[in-house]
Amino acid sequence: MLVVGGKIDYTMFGRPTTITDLANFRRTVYAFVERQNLPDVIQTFDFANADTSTARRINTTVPQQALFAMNSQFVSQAAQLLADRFGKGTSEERITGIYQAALGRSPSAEEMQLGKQFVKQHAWQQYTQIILMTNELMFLD
Amino acid sequence: MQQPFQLPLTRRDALRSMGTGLGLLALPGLLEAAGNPLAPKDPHFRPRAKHIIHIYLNGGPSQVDTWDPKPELTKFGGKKLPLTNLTTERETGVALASPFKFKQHGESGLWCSDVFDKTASQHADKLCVIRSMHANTPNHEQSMRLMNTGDERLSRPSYGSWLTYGLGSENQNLPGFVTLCTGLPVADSSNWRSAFLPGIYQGTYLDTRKKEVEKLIANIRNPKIPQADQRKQLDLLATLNRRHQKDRSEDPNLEARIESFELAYRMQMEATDALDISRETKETQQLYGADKVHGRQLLIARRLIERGVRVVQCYHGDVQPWDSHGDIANAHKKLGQEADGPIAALIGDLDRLGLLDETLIICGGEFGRTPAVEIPIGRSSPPTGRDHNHHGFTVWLAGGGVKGGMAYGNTDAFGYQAVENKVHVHDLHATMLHLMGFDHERLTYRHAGRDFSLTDVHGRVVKDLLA
Repeated sequence: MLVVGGKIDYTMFGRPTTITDLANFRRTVYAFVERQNLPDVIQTFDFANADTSTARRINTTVPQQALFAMNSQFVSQAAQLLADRFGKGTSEERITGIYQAALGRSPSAEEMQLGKQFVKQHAWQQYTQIILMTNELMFLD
Repeated sequence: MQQPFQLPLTRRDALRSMGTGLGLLALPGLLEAAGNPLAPKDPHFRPRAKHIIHIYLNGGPSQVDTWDPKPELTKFGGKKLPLTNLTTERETGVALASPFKFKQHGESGLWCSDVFDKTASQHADKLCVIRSMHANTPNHEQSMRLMNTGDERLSRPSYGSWLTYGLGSENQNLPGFVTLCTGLPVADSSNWRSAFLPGIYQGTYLDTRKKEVEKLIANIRNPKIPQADQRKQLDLLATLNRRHQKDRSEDPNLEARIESFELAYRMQMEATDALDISRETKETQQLYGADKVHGRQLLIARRLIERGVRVVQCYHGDVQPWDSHGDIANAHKKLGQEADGPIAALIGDLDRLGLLDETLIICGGEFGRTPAVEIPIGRSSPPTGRDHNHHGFTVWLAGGGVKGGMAYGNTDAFGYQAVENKVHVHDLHATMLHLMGFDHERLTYRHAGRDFSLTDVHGRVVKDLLA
């Protein structure tokens, strides 16, 4: 989501950052981990147990992850950044740009139609949030 | 700005187009069972209890001042106790007689001090008081973890996580294991962690310093997008996801994720409803004393188990409120005034609603306190309190298949160590699992090369406690 929003900070090395800080755009591998007090968002996404060696992480799919996608400030901000990144031009140009940045392809005719209809009645940020929430973005083929 | 690009071929397309059979090579990985980790499951045998409410008096309440009357201690007040050296956290001195009065209650004649007068006078015949509890170490961190996870140091799942793992959840719109505290108890979230079990079995912690319902569960509401708009969002999301899924129908993760959004949408409404005590009658709110946090927590606990939540823990307060190293007469009196009314209300309310039989109530702390007075560090003030005591302490049970109106086991004449029918924390765990329908030796999870369980190599079910 950070890459797609265009704001990812690729700084390597150095001190860790607080993952729940909205102004933090560094990669998750630089998140500060207090093992007795892991932030909820980290636990929700199957972060490894910080007390022992974990050879393989367990994968779950649960509603709390969906709640994060739907309601968290992080995703809200990422959606806004994506919308701003393609903030100019016709609806078609904007939707195409969003698809290419997020999903690596152009939208089909049907998807273009659905998108245009949606943004007539809703904010662009709500639309980009949907794209950020899709399975296509989340799962690798 | 980056150049727009097109992926030439997805890996899946490439495999498919490379001739017969090659596409199928991808299949075994894709068929990795996703399933729903919270789908309801049956326990090993018919359970007596379906829910647990653990009223956790964190800090270590003193048994000789609450549920374990010791006339010999009164006689020895001010004199050195004739006992061999028992390890405590700090230095202790002569015997300190209890400043509280004890009475007998109910038809069973159960003894209790005025600290818990309301609970005892209203419900003595429902309570199963275990006087012979014992643990391993007179320190909070270790004993909190032992009481909650079965191990003092190593990272182990809490009993709430084990039970959610074993039972799933009856109500898919709420978390299966919830902990409530105004702040955090000692050892923080290691008390409700899932450790090596999947993260979804972790307890959902609610900071009850927050009174507004919407702040209690993370991300339960969208502060910017109204619900009608959100519904439209999710509809479009579902449409896009289903199109995506058409070519990938063998992947169960996709379906699981599509469903998780619908569950999350419903959870938004159901969780905020469950936590909203203003929906209770004024009468009920007053009964619990819900204007104060202890009553509010227990009322929330009742609402949660009514809706199928399996385990709810209610901690008395931040850090260790019952840890009366000093001024035990006033400290325990005040703590009792906070806890007694709401506890009595909860038991009565569950009984009235017909839920007491299927709800196991556990009440106690991580250890007890010494009958000998604690010598303040540096002797800076007169000795008026008690030190930690893991050698013998009291935990009581009610509902959920336990015998009422009884006291089980005994400490020595002064209430220092458990001597008769001793119940270790592991034994308590084995008994709790038994009441919830599990053989503690068979509820296991494979990790690091062997099967683990809550009780590991310890624990026996205390059959005498069962109704």
